[in-house]
Amino acid sequence: MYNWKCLLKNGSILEQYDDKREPKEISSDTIDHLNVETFVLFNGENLVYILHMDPGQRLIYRRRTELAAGERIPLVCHLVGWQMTVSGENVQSIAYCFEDGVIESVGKFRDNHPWFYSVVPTKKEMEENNAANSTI
Amino acid sequence: MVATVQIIRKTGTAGAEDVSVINDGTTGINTRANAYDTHSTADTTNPIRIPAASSNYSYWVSTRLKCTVSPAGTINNVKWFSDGTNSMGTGVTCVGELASTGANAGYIQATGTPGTTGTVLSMANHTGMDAEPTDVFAWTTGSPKTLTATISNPSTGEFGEHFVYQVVVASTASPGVTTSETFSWRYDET
Repeated sequence: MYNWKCLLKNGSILEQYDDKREPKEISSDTIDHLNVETFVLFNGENLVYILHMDPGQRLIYRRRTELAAGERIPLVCHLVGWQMTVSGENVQSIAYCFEDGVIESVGKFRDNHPWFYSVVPTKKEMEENNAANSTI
Repeated sequence: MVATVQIIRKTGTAGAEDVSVINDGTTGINTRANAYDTHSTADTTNPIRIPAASSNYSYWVSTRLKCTVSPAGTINNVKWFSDGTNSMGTGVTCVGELASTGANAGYIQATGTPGTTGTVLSMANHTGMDAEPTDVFAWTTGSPKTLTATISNPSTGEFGEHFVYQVVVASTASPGVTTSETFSWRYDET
């Protein structure tokens, strides 16, 4: 199962799972999306994907799961990318890391695509997007 | 652990439904749409009778998502879709729609004449339906049905709208077990 770790700009490290912490698992929505230096996806302890962030970029992360009646194994894809407000426009870059090892990258969400469609922003992401838009 | 989400099928009296797991996150089980209100994976005792004219129907099948291990954050962006191809044979189709209206989050027990036909799935007969049912094969992986469905930490249990479908058998159908269809759900988790 894939998991993530995050190096923040202040040098601290945030991990999805930490046995010494309560709760042991945290949501990716707890990450300060604007202050990520590096976001790393692991398969167990093996590196899968590393995202290096530039100033102004806001992290996007989701675990996307497909369940089907009659299909034994759920399909899981991890969306790892960034969004940034440039001249009032939302610019994105997203890697789709499938748990079978395939990684596909796209420059923006594609709403008529089986896997590349957009996420629903969390309240925190909407606040971050609004703050970014108001500082243009 | 990330959230554990199941696809469930509900049968029985509204408010005290029987819940059967169609996919528990590791094992997927096809469900049969027979002419009785019981979850079945292989039973052929109550088939839909081919009519001499017009159409007969399966009992409608009510499905929904259920979370048994809470997400660390939120699950949302839920989609439902078919494989886009009706493989059930000549004279056999399937219609469906979301149900969330009224009590029990839109769940209404299926009715009909066991072994012959179910009651037609319509807004008049199923008062929990959000719209009249249409061909399920129009909803595909690239053009899915979007559900209103969210569950956040720390919560478990059923969530979101039901997806209700019904197999329709016309007089032109041939006897026998139809080919299985795959109906899928997709969701995002933070």
